[in-house]
Amino acid sequence: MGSSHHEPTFTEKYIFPLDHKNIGLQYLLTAMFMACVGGFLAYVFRMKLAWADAPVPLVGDVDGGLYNSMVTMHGTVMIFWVAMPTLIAAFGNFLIPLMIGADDMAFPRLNRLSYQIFLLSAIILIASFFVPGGSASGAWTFYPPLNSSKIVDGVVEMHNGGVYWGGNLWILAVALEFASFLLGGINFMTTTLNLRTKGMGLFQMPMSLWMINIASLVFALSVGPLVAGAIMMLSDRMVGTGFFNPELGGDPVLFQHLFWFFGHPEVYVVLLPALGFFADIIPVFARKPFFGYRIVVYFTLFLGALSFIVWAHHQFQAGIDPRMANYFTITTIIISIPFGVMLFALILSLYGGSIRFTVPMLWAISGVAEFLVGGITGIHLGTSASDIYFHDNYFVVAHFHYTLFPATFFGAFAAITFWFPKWFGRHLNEGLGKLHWMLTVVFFNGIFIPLFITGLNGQHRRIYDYKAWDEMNTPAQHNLNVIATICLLGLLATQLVFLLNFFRSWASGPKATANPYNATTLEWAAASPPPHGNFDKVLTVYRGPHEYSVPGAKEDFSPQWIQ
Amino acid sequence: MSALTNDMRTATGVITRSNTGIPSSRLAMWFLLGGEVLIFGGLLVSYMMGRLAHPEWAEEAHHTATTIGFINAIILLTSDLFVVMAHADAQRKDGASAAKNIMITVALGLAFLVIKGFEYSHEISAGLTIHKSVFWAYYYLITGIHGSHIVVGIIALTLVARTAKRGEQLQRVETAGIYWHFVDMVWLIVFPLLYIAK
Amino acid sequence: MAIDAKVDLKKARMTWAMLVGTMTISYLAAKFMGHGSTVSTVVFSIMVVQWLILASQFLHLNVEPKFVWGLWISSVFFVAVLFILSYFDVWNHQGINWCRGAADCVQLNEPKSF
Repeated sequence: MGSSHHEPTFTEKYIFPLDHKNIGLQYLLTAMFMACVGGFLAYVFRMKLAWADAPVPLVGDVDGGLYNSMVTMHGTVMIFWVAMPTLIAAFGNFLIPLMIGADDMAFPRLNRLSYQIFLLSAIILIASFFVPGGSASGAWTFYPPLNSSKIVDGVVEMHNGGVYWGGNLWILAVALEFASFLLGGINFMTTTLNLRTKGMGLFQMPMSLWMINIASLVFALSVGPLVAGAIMMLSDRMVGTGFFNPELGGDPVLFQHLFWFFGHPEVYVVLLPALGFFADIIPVFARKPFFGYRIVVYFTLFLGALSFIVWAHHQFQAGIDPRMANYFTITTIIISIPFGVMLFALILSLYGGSIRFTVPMLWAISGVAEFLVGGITGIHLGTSASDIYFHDNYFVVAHFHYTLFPATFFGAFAAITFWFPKWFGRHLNEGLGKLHWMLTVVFFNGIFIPLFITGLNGQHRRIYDYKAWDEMNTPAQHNLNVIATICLLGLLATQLVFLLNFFRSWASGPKATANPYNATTLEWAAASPPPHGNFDKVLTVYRGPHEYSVPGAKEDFSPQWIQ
Repeated sequence: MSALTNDMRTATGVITRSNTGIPSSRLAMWFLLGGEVLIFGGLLVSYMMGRLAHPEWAEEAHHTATTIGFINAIILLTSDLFVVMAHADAQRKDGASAAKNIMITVALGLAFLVIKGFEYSHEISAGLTIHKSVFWAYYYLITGIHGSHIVVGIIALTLVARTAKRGEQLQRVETAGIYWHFVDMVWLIVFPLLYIAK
Repeated sequence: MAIDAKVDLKKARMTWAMLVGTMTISYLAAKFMGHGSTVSTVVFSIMVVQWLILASQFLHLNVEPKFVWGLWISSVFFVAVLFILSYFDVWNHQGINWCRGAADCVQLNEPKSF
C-alpha cells in the first residue's frame, strides 16, 4: 500500500488484491459464473414449461417444489449476483479511479473486504441448493406468510419437523450481499467525491460515474428498511415471532412495503449504470458530444428521488388501499418523464454524428431500443386498473425482462466490449462480437415477445403446469411456449461465443494501444492495461468528458487531459 | 467546483485528496450513517404503524421500565461528552489522554449493556418474552439491534483507543466518535417511543 | 474549513447539560403526568430538539459542509416517506374483497366472477 507501487505477486493480484482493477475483475468473473448458474436455472424451468411431460435433460423430473425453487433462485441470482456485481461493482471498481484520475479507491482494504463478503454470500447461496429441503422456493420477493412460517416453507415440509434451511440461507446470503454493496457503494461515493484529480469538477465527470454514484446512493438509502424487514423475517422463521404472521398479530403486507421500498429503487440501481455506459459509449462512436449532459444529470437526480415514492405499484394486487393505488399510479407514470429525457438524449446523441457500428456501439444502440419496449409496456403495469389484469401473468415477466435484460446484459456486454482493450490490453474479435450480438438480440426477442402473448392469453407466471387449465391447454399456447424455450436454448448457446471470445482474446488477442478509439475520458490516458497505480503522472483536467468534433480543433477528439 | 485544491496532509503525514473538504474516512462514515438511519427508520416505522393500529399494545407497553431507560439515556449522553473530550485530545495530539477518555466511554457503554441485561432478565422472568406478543417482539428486536450497535461501537472504540494510546491514527477518534453519537441519537428516539409514549 | 474546527469543550459541556436537562424533563413529565398523548407530544417535540442539538453540536454538523445536512435530511425524509405511504395499508383490516378478523368484518360484496 501507500505510494510505493511495486508490481504485485500472483496472490496479491488475483487472490487477495488491493488494486481496484483486480477487485473489479474478481467481481466480473464471479458474476459471469453466477450468470451461468442463473442461465442454467432458466433452462430448467423453461424446459419444464415447454415440454411438461418429459424429464428435463441433465436434471430429470421437475416437480412443483423444484420448479418453484428454480424460479426463485433464478430471480435472486440474476438480480443480486449478476446485475449488481457486473454493472456497479465490477465496472464501478474498474472505472471510478481511472475516470477521475486517481491511483486507487479511497479505501482499498474496505474494497477487498466487500468483495470477500460478496464471495461468501455467493458461496452461501450456492450451498443453499444442497441443504435438506432444497433452496428457497417462495419467489425472489420472499413474501410472507409463504416464507415466514417456522417449520413449513412453501410446499416443502421437513420429515423430522426441522427448520427448512434453504430460506434461512437465502436471507443470510442476501443480507451479506447487501452489506457488501453498502460498503462498496460508500467506497465508490467517497472516492468520487474526494479523490478527483485537479480540474475534475463534478460536471467534468463521464456519465458512467454520475450514474454509478447515484445508483450507489439510491441503494444505500433504500436498503435499510429491507434489512430491518429481513431481520424481522429471520426472527419469524427462527425464533417464532409474529411480525408478519396475522395469526400472531402481525401483518404480511408490512413486509411487502419494506421489500418494495428497496425493491423499486433497486431496479434503477441496476438500470442507471447501464444507461451511463451507453451515454459514454455512444459519443465515442458517433464522434459527437453527449446531448444534454447537465439536463440528464439533473433528471437522473430527480429520478433517484422519485424512485423512493413509487414502490407500491408492485402491490396493486395485494389489497392495498385503492386511494393509495391511485397515488402510486400517478407517481409511477411520472417516472416516464426522466426516462424519456434520458432515452431521447441518447437517441439525439446519434443525430448528425458520424456513426461507427462497432460491437460496443451495437450493444448500446440495441440496448436503448430494447429498453424502450420495456418502458412502454411498463405503462400498462404502472396503471392500477390495467395492472390487475396484466400483473402475475407472463406479460409482467416479459416486461420485466425487457427492462432488466437490456440493462444487465446489453449494458454489461457494451461495457465489456468497450473497455476490454483498456482492462486487458488486448482487443476482442470483432467478427465473433458481432455474431454474438446479432444472435443475442434475435434470441432475446424470440423469448420474450411470445411471453407477452402467452401472458395476455392469461398464463399465470407462478404456475408450473399451465396445461392444468383447459382454456390454456391450446396448441397456440403450447407453440408460443416452445418457441420461447427454443430461443432460450439458443440464447444460452450464443453466450458460449462470448465466453470463447472473452477468454481467447484475454490470452492472445491483438495488443491494444493506450487510446484505441480516440476517446476523450481520463481512463484512456493510462496505459493498456493500466499498471498498478494507473497513471504515470498526476493529470489535470481541462474540459468536459465528451468533446468530440470540436470546431477549430486539430483532431475530432479533444481529450480531457490535454490542454 | 472546477478549480479544486485537493491535496491535503493528514495527521499521519500522508498526502491524500479531499475535494469535499471532509477527510475520506469521515465522509464514508456520513454515508454509512445515512444508510443506518434507514435501517433503524424501517424498524421504528414498522413499530409505529403497529402501535397506532393496536391501542391494546398500551397494556403491554405499560410494563417497560421507564426509570431504567432514563438511566441508560443519561449514561449514553454522558459517554457522548467523553467522546467529545477524546476528540479534543486528539486535536491536541494528546493520544494518551484521548485513549483514557475513550476507555471511559467504553466503560459507560458496558454499563449500558449491563443495565440493559438486568432489564431483560427482569422482563423475561416476569413472562414478558419475545413470544408474548408482537409488541414484545418489536421491543426485543429494536433494543437488541440498538444493543448490537453498542457492542460494535465498544469494539471499534477499543481498537481506536489502542492506536490512539501510541499517538497513531488520531483521526480515527473523531470517526468512531461520530458513530457513537449516532448510536446515542437512536436511543434518544427509542426511549420516548418504547418507554414514554405508552 | 471543517477539517480542523477546534472542539470547544466548554460548549460541549453546555450541550451535555442541555441534553441531560431536557431528558430529565421528559422523564419527570412521564413519571408525574402519566403517559398520555399530551405528554407524548411534548416528549417527542423535546426529542426533535435533542436530535438537532446533538446533530449540530456533537456530530458537529454546524461546521460540516452543507451537503452532509442534506444527506441526513434526505435519509430522515425517506423514513418519513416510508411511514406516510405505507401507513394506510399496514394493519389495514379491510380491503376491496377481503377483511380480517371475523368480529369486525362488515358485509362485503361477493367477489365478482369475470
